Amino acid sequence: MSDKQLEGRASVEQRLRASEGRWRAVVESAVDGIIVIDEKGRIEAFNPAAERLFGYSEQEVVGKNVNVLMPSPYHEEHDAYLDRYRSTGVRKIIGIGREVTGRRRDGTTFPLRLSVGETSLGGERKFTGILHDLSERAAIEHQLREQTALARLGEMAAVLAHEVKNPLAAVRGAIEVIGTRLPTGGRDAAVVKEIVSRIDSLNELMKDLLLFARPPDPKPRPVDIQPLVSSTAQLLREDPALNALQIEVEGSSPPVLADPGLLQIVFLNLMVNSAQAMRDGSGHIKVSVGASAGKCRIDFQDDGPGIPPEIRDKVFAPFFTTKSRGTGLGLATARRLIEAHRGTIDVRCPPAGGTTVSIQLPVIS
Amino acid sequence: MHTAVRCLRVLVVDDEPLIRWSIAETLGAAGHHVVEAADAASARRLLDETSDLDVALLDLRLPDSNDLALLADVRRKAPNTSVIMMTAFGTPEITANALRMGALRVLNKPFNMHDLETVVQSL
Repeated sequence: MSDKQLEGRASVEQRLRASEGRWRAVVESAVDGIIVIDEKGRIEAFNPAAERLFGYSEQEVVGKNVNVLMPSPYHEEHDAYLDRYRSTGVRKIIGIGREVTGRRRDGTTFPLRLSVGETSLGGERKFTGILHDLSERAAIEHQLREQTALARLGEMAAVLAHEVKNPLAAVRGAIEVIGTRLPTGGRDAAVVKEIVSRIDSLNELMKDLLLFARPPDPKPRPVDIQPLVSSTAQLLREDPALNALQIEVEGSSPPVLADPGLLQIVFLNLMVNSAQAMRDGSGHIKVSVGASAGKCRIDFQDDGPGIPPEIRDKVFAPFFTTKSRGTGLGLATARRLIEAHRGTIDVRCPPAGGTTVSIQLPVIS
Repeated sequence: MHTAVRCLRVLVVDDEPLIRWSIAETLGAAGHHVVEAADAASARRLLDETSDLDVALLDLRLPDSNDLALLADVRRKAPNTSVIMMTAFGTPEITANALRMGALRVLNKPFNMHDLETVVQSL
């Protein structure tokens, strides 16, 4: 080989290296995930953005079936899909792109936009997937849907409140008047009393629905949390149905800017929920008040049976209940009222047992 | 047995006949005199015809009045009449507005007839 040919070859190799470097830089700096698989579905390349999306390193997944990145049923169906494409050429994603669900290393799933291109390298078929994370968009859409649903529920509740409470008032008033005309101590008078009691329960249900669907705007003022929790606990201690319940309140925090009436509803809901979860109203509730990093933290800890993991993320959803009688609005209302105070509420079930509901509220700076 | 401390003339305005009946029976048994209206127009006519009303029990939502206009009319035409508003959907804002316009109480429906009697008696 002449010097000129050698120089030419070196120049070509240099250009090839430069080109490869450019492409590697593009792939490695891409914001979207890029995954290359062979025709059997085995992963050949996995860029840093894909590593961030799925929580796997490139070394962990190269050589593995791409279906590890898919939840069921796509996980099981993907090989058959590739086989069908190879034999029939029928496409579902290749060259088209669509929204799919990805599965992270920790098992959680997330929405993503997947576009797949096909190429042939050295006679081998390769597929390149570009993956754009849609989690943020999905979260915003979810929030918007939730807000719209709540607004509709609020409108519906207002109409329902009038249309139900007015007839309730009519029936309650009339039955009460009729009751005064019956001989006291008789069976009929007892039935009338029961009817009035049922009507009052229906009215309480309407009030709970309205409080959730159209919560009043908080009227904030400086509030000391510990005395408010203590006075709420005292209310429960005075309830004859809960006289076996022990409530302990400890700690303190700087004041928060809040509506004490609404916070009391939240505290009452949480403590009643705990009491009902613990052997028919007996048991122990420990309420710890503290503050750190500009937040007041209130932990309601009970020694009840805890909440099964599969329903733990549903407990704040409206109308979700595990009780045979109950509206499923207590915790949902608590969350709405705490969020109206720019606070957060979450639930944990420690391995040692029991349930802890934690509230965080901004303290007055 | 009910014994009225003093006999009051009471106007009840509600489009629900059972509510008017219950209130009339309860307050009547307590010795008060009750007149009834099913809508705001009838109530205004009664106000023009009757000068000695002591108490007006007004529903907030009527077929021909869905705000506090009737309360304003009662306050203007019969300033010495004590007004109690009744509502099936009492928001804090409605209550505050009614009290600001001169209502003495806002009763949320459904209410206890005995409580109503006590409220009227205390006026």
